[in-house]
Amino acid sequence: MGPAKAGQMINDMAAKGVLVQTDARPATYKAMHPYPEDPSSLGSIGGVHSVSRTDVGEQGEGGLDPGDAAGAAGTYWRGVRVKSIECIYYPYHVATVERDGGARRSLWLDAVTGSRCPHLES
Amino acid sequence: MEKGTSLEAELSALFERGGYTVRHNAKMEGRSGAVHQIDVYATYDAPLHRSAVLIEAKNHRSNIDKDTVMKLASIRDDLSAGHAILATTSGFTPGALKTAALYGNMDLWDGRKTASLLGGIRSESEAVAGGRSASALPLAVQARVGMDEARTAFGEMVAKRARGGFMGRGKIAERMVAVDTVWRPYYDVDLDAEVRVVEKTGWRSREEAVHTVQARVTFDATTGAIVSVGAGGMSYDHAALAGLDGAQRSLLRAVGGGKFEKRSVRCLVWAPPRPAR
Repeated sequence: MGPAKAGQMINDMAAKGVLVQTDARPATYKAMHPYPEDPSSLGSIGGVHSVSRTDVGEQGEGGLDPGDAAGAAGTYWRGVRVKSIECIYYPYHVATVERDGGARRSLWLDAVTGSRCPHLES
Repeated sequence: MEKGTSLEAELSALFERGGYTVRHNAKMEGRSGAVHQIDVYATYDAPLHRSAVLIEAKNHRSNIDKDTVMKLASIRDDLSAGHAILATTSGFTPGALKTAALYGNMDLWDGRKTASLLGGIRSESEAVAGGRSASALPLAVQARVGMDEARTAFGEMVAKRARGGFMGRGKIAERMVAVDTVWRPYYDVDLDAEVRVVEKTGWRSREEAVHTVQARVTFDATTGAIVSVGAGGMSYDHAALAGLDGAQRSLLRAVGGGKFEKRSVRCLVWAPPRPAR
């Protein structure tokens, strides 16, 4: 990998929001969020919330199957051994709002905590 | 629902009603390192011990043979489950019955026994879930914020946008068209992973050690992003990692939480390889 490619790699990461530039000269960056080296530091749905079998009505469709999730886990950390996988549905309230011109967007609200979810909004 | 899946769901419900903690259609890793797809895995926490039962459901017309019994016995032993049950809608060949007796700690439920045990469950769960057996229902987190509260919150968001910022700048008039509840799928993955830790071994010496940690990690099943879950809600802080390649992830791991100059990364990349000794 040449220096131009290394620079491009950093530019790409900054564009994706993974790195943030802190100084212009010399160009200095830092990680927006440090890499989660220890997976046990990440909370999980099953570890934080009580989960039960419920009729959830209309279910959203996932793009991943359980095998994809297991494969993805293997790319984040070393020596990963997947022991089990559970699919859990999490509730959100979604509002569709419309401008005068007809343009629509959606607002998402976490139906457990009541907090807004800008990362899911379109 | 497929026939086999329906039988698995009903067996799950049977064990749940019996006070067991049930995992349906779970992938589990055995002592050998092999990952097994388990129809139903039921555990029971007694005051002084914990028992685990492995249940295989076979919705077949033909009788179950000894090969199926042998396979189940080997999976049971690999998972260190104390007991296994092979439940079918048909029957068993004489070889299967003999093999099960030889292995021990295994019950064979033929069509008649399976039907008699599931009969009560089926009628109860149909009453509860409008025709869907209880364990056929997905695992979900209960909503705590009602639709009325949600409408109020959305109304405030729309009103705030209509007011705009300082001196009404950037105000946008919108109207709410619909409010729905959506259930978004996630995968909770139980895993072991290796974590490198730098340990202080003396006054000036440090050593890098590798520890295996147990973790339960949540992935967004729609985007594949890692999600960090806390009492305050979901955090998608690490979602962008899903779009990074191996080199980019390596760089991110190397820099940790500190600042770095862009040119230093170039130097790192340009550093000539050390000559082999």
